[in-house]
This record gives sequence, structure tokens and C-alpha cells, in this order.
Amino acid sequence: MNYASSFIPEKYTDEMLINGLQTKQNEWVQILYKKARPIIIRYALKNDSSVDEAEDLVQNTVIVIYEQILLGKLVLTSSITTYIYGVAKKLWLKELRKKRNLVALSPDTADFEYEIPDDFNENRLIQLQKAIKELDLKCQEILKNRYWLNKKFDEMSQLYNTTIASLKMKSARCDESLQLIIKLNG
Amino acid sequence: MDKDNDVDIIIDYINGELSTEEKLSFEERLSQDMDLLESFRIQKEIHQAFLRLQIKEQVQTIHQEAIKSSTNSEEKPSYTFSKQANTALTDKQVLRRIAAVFISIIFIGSLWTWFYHNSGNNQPILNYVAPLKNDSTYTSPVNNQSIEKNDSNQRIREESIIKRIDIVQLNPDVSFAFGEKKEDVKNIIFKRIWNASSGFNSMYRLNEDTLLLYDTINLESKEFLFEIQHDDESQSTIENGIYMMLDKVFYKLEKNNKLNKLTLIENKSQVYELNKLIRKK
Repeated sequence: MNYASSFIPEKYTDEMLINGLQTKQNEWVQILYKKARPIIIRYALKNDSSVDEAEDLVQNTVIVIYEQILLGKLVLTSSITTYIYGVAKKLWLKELRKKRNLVALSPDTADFEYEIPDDFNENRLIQLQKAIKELDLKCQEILKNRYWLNKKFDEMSQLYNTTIASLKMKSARCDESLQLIIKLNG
Repeated sequence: MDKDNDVDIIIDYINGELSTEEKLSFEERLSQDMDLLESFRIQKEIHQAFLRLQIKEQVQTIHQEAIKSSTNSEEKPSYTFSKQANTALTDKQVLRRIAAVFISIIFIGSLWTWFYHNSGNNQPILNYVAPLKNDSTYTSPVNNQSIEKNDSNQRIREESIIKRIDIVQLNPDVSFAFGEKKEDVKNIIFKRIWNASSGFNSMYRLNEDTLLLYDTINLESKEFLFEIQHDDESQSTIENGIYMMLDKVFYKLEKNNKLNKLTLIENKSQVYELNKLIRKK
């Protein structure tokens, strides 16, 4: 992956923005952020949000969109602006439901909460993120190389000046430590 | 295939770096090997958590920088929705803006006066909607019947405004703005969709508002009908379907520079005014 700062055009299409974000370059994330911020702030403040809540919504929306793009889950059927608006809207409605303890009315499904599986996954993700932060720095670095910089073990072995086998062993130990930390954290 | 290589393959699979053939073969193995499946599940989870962590850090840094730069420029963060809210303005720019606002006020004022005195009835601009006349031959454009009366265009416009108000009220954002009525509006949407599952005719009725809207911008109605013509019985899916459909409508309107027709009545007080006018008729 090329992390060198590349030319960011003044005018860009939605496709260019999405491709740019896939490179994980900061400049493209800034562009997404600047594009999203006014839309989300305007929407949130119009809909009973405080300034702090609006700020949180900006961050959460950008995180969701960026993650969707990196995981290849974003299929754009309308403009990115519409998408930003849609995501913000959903996140804010979810937040409001939590805040006001409301459940969406529905004649057939009034007894079920759709959000339980999502919340379960979200909590699991939060647990894992905490555990990753508690890992030793070497393990964090290996994870970064593996999952953020998309480096293969042979590339990493050259980087760390070690054999592929010992690196894989270390990597497996890191995974085990991670599971152990999660268990210990309960 | 040895176990050590599995981690490599799993990571390549997650990172989308396998060829189609390799991908299929890996998925085949996943369906048969429970250990591999468990290992894949763990790696996938770690991958997602790590990705989220990195993304959070990157976005938070950008967010903090934006806040910091707006604080340095002694301006509130961009709640003014200005494109340049994070940039400190020079005195010259401030003067230019004040001048521009002043000129705009004079211009709009003159324009308003001109309209007011030339409209002939000294009524506000909102009254561009003419009252309905008793006309038995008139039928809704939704029914595709020919309209022969001279004032038919005016009537179409009136009809479309009424319909558009209906659509705007169905729009979740606006219904949300109506506060207490939000859940009622949601239920209306839901019931309409539910009834629509009985066949095309009711689907047509369900969509006549939107169809009219599509007709005004020469869109094929089929693709929009398709959006909600699925068998999924989950309410959230159906709701998402109709929200997406409305998103698409707005997008197409925006693309055709016709969004202003909708924004005209997105304002709550304007909807109220128009409703009042419609009630009078």
C-alpha cells in the first residue's frame, strides 16, 4: 500500500473519494470529514441534539462510513452526501431511542428488539479494542502490520530481521494474549 | 495445507487479496473444517476491532485538529454551516460580506415590492396556487387520464403540491420534526407498505404520490416500485427500503435541479401555510 502523500485534486467525484479513502490516506479522510461535518451538524441541531451530541455524531458517522469503505461494504446507489445524511440519521435515531428509552412501534414485532444482536457485536468489538490497547507494543505493531498495512509475514520477517516461523509463533501468542485479556476483563 | 499457512490465507482472505479460485477453495475448506472456521472467526474479529481502533484514532485526530483550528481562529466551530467557518476572515473579507448582505437585502426588497404591486391582488407570493374551481371533468394526473380544461396545468401544479406535502410528511426527517406525530407517520408508512403487499394495484395506490413525483421528472417508476416489492417481513428492512427509496428520489431531484421544489415545503411553517390554503379550497 502506498502511504506516500499523493496528489489530492481540488475537485473530485464520489468515486475518487471512495478510492482515496481505501488508501487510508489522512488527506482523503479529512475531505470526508469536511464534507460530512456541516451536513451532520445541521441535521443534529435541527433534531433536538446538543452541540456536544452533534460533535459526537459527526465523528461516529465518519467512522462508520470510513469503516464501510475499508471493509468493501459500501455500495453507493446515490450520492455520498445522501449516504452521509442517511448514516447520521440512523445513528441519531438509534441514540434517541436509547436516550428516551423508546422502541420503534411495529404491529408485528412489538415484542422484539432488533438492535440486540448489533449491540452485542458492538460490545464485543469494544472489549477487543480495549484488549488490543493492553497488548504489549510488539504485538500491537504486528497487528498493525497485518491488518492496517496489509503486510505479509515474509515482508514482516525482513522488517523485524527474524524468521517467518518465529514471527508466526509470536503472532499466534499475541492472539492468545488477546483472548486471555478479554477473559480476564470479564 | 499446513496449519501455519492458514493464518496467512485467512488474513489474505480478510484483506481481499485472494484470487477468485483461491477464495472459493478457502470457502470450501471453511465449510468443512471447524478448527479453521473458529480460527477465521477469531482473526476476523481481531481485524475488525483493530481496523475500528485505527479508524477511530485517525478520525479523532482530524476532529481535534478541526476544533483546535476553529478555536485558534477565535470562531466557534462551524455551527454556522459556512464553508469557511474554520478559516479566520480578514477585515477586507468581512467588509465585503457586509456589503454583499446589504446589497442582497436591497435587491430582495425591491424584488418583493415589485411582485407585490404587480401581482394585482396584493396577496403574498405563496398565493401563486390558484383556488380550485368546480370542474367535474378534471381527474388526477395519477390516473393517466387526459386533461382538457385550459386551467389543467394550474390544477396539476396544485395537485402535485398537495401530493408533495404528503411525501414530505412521509419523509422520516420531517415527520421527526413534527415531534409527537413521528410515530403516527411511521405507522402510516408501515400500514401503506403492508397493504401494498396484496398486489400491484394497491402498490400503485401506495405509490401514487411518489409516482406523480417521478412523472414530473420523467423517471421510470418501475425501479422504485421494486424497492419495496420484496418479501422480507421485517419492519426495519421495509422501513429502510422506503427511506432508501425517498433518498433516491431526493437524489434524482437534486440531480435534475428540482430539489428546490421540495425544499420549498420542507419548512414547517410553509407546510402549514400551504395546508391552510388547501383547506380553504
